Amino acid sequence: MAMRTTQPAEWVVADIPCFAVVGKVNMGKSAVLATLLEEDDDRIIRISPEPGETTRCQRLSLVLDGAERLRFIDTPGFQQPIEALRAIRALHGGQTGTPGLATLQAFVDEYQDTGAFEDECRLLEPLLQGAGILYVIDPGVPVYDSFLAEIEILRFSGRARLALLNQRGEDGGAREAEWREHLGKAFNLVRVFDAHRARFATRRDLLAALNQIDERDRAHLETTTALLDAEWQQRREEAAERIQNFLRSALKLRERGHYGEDAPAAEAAKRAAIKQASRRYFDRIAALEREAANDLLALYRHTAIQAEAMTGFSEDLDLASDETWRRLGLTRQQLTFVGAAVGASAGIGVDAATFGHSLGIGALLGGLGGGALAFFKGDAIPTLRLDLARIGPLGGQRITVGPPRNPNFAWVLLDSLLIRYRQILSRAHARRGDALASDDEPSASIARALPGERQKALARWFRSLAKSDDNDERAQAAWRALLDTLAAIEDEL
Amino acid sequence: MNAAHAAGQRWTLADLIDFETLLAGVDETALEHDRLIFNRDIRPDLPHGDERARRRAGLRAWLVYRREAGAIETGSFWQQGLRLVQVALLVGMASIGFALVAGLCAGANPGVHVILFFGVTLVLPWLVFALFMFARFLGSGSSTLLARCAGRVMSLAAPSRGEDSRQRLRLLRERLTDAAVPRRALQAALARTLQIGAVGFNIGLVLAFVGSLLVFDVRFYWEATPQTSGLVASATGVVAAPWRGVWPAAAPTAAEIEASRARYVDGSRRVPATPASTAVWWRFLLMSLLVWGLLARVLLVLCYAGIERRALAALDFQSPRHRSLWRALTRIERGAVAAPVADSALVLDVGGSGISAASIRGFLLRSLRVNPHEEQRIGVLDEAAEAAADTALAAQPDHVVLAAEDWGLSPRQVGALHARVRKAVGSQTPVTWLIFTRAERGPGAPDSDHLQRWTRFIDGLRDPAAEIVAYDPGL
Repeated sequence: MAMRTTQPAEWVVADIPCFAVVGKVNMGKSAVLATLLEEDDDRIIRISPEPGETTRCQRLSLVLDGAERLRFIDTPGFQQPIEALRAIRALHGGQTGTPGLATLQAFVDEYQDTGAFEDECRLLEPLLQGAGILYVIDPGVPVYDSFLAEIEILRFSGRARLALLNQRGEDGGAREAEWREHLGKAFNLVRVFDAHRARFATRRDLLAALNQIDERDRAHLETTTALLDAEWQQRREEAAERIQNFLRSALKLRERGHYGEDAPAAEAAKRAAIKQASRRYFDRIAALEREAANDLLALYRHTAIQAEAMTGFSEDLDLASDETWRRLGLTRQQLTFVGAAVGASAGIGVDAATFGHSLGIGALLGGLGGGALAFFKGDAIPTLRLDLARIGPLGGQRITVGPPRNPNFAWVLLDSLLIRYRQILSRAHARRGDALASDDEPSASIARALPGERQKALARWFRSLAKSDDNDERAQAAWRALLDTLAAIEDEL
Repeated sequence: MNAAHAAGQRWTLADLIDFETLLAGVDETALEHDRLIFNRDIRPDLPHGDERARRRAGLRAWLVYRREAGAIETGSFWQQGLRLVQVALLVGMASIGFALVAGLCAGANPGVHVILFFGVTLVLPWLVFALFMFARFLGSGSSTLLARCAGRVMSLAAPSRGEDSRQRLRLLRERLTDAAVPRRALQAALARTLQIGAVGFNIGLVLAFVGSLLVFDVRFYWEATPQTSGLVASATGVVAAPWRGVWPAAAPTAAEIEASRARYVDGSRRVPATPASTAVWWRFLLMSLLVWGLLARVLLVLCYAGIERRALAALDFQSPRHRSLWRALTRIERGAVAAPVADSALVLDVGGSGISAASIRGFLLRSLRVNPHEEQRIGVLDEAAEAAADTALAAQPDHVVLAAEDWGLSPRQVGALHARVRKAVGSQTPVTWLIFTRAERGPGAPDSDHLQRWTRFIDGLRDPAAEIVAYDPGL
């Protein structure tokens, strides 16, 4: 088959640090880039177990605020490294020293239109133009001669070189020590990076490591890292905002229905109306939760997955299920303590207003009341509050249902989203499809592990919402508690 | 331009009012433009580390930029209105104080009852102050009253009616008086204004008192039904404590107090007229007015100014609307990572053999360097399938792969098919004929004789952008 003449492309431009991601086929080059650049769209970066998925060089950029900050070149993998190395050495011939850029250029000129070393020619193009090298290998595979040939070819380029050990899974680094020994001789730096598990901190560290292999772009890379840090902080704040908005909407939600008092079976009509309104109520809560989860996914640039597909959430948040109330939210004891603390705070307010003449009795009663309320209600599965009102002079009753009487309701909702948040942060963008690995983060309650002060701040805000008084100061304190919680979740991952 | 540094971090109430007015009316388009300006001119100069300081400085710099770009007057209305009120109170209360003391000192009575004088000029105003503080404590949640007062102040400088006035009140109520910190600042500003009035009152008292002393022969006395000399002496001792050490002559002794007590002789009151008693009392009263009146009120003015400043310094801009604004201004926009790779291919199953793109995908990736993006059937009876193929061709794919079984070469049909594809996609789009054989476990390599015939035919089309490839399951 006649080959088309390769059109030279401009891969490297001045002022923008550029790195070519090279390696053997199926070592995870595209996966590394997808995770690094937070791109989960298969139309942009295709990832699959199919060898040769990347058919040609592709420029992938980190663009922040309209400016290209970093450029990566995804390349097709080495297909015939040993043969290519022989050809390069043959071209170098009897010249002194080792082959260098000139020999590599001669190799590309010789073979690029012949089809003989099509992939090697393609991946060398950006290197010849000045790109640095990110060499990706799987440390779980043996150090075959073909890898040694690749390393040697890359060494000939003389470019700044960083090797990534794309450790896949827990036992992925079985031969890591052996790899480090070989890579250490030819690369400026060797780093471990699991493209399917890397979190923000790891991605950030990798970008910071680029500074260490080539200091010429130090200031630029430092600025880029600072921008990424600022972006991450903003995302966290916005996530806290969205979670709080969800809680506010859910806790204020009411569902209405009506029935006729004059109907022949008024009691049955009433029960039916309550049942329908309750069903609608739970459906809307689930929809709100799903919407908030999708917002969080979009915030963290997960476009290929929807909330329904996340582990433990194959069905919507099921508040009618006993299991949900057992698994999520606070324990009965915690509810009692938090209820006591918030009740006590309210009692202290009473004491202050009476200039202390109540001798602290307000605090004691408030504490007992808050605690007792939580103790008795904490175990009940959700019964919705029910209000009845006459519609008008012509008869008919309007029913209003919601929220559940259970004081754990707000905590269950909070837990649901915090668990989602943890899962979202855990999901690397290199993952494809909705199918989730079996070792995904378990959906253990997060609210139960919160420090007491944060639980109290949130409880106070929940209480003010329950009284239809969305106090600004309490809302801010709750937001800060949420923000600290999200930061703690990130630190634990 | 060091915008952030020039703007400073110190917020005033006028700044806050302008800021909230601006925020209430800002729209997405303007914010997007502001974000670019913010990132270019303001962000580089923000202080590092302390997020609170960054936010204060950044938002203030944004306010300054917006002020320069367009007139925002609400804050200046507030400032002008407040000044007007302060001046009016100062002058008005000074007049009242003056008139009060002038009336007490220059009236028809031969002397000034010192206890009455003290009570009216000092005790009563402080009682009013105490009552005001108590009322404020009880009504501390009344943001409506506070908003109304602030609105009236603004209206003095910019009288407005109807909707404009209602909007302003709504803004004040929602944005400034419902949050603790701005409310504290507003309360302090209004309280300071009232104390300026009290300062004016005391200035009037002092001026009238000094004037009366210079113009009239004022006598001072006191009287009471029971024997209360000791009580009066104790009280004056306490009041004179601040200046006793500095000016003992202004602190009446027990003897002087007793000597100045009025007595009734033959049914008429006799005011003692000794120079000593007169002197000690006017000094005492003057110092009382200066220390417990004027100086105390000046200290209160300074105290409220301090409260206002501290309250404004405590602004952290953490309410949801502030956080939303900050995010809008400082948001880091991510651009597109890359355009989709131009290696997609439309796979056409010629004759409906049943071959799937998935089964030959690996071969297409590694051999032809294309990714099967879409697949259709062509050359079949099904009109819908034919229409779908035409639609797919009309979408101008990057590459067309026609998958045909090796025995299926029907020259006229293949020629017509090739012409149809070429007509739809143009002369430049690569078209590849992929020849395969049907094997048990999927497509296999074609028979060599069939392949030869296919190759001759396709070469005979003399289409430079057309190729023929034999499927290789091992690739």
